[in-house]
Amino acid sequence: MTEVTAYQRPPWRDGTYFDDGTGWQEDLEMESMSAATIRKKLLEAIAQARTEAEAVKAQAQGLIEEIDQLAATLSQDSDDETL
Amino acid sequence: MNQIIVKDYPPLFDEIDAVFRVRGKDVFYAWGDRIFNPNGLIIPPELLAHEAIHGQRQGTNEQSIIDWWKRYIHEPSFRLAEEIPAHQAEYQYLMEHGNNRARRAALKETASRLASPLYGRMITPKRAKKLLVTEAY
Repeated sequence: MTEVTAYQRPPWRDGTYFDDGTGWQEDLEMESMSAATIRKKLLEAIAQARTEAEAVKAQAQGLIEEIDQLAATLSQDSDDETL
Repeated sequence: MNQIIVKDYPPLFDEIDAVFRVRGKDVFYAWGDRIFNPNGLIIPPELLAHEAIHGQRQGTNEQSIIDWWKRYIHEPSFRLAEEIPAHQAEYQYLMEHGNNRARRAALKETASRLASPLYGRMITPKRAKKLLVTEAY
């Protein structure tokens, strides 16, 4: 029993990984693409990663605002001895 | 041993999953002259070498394969004894057929797989490295 791990997949592993040229199916497909197609695919992947990063950033910003609001509320109540 | 690839779960899967929690994971299972590959993945050649060792040691008799799996599931010492030669074959394949990058990474990566949680962290990576290079199978 064994699990295929990340380092056994692209992009870490490519079609030159073994002397006999065996690599990974996706790599062989990649090799048959033109440079322009590969560039286009990479740019699409980068754009997608950027969109996802922006979404995380917006989420974090919202969380920061909530934290600030909570801190402000607690500061205002700090003189209340019943706390 | 040339094994036939079967896109299916192996017999005893529920019993295997109860111990190893492998459902949904990209795991291959040797079963004598077959390899069960439930997710239909391409199997890297060094893992074919790995599973071939399991297959050889399991035999081709259905009962002997079942007995092997029962011990593998329930006896950690047996599991380790079976995984050492399989990982040695995997390591050897990488060293014999890999490019420079593959050979440089082979020992560390194979040792980390042998010491991985998949098998229940049977040994440390350091010990695994030593076993891969010092013990013949």
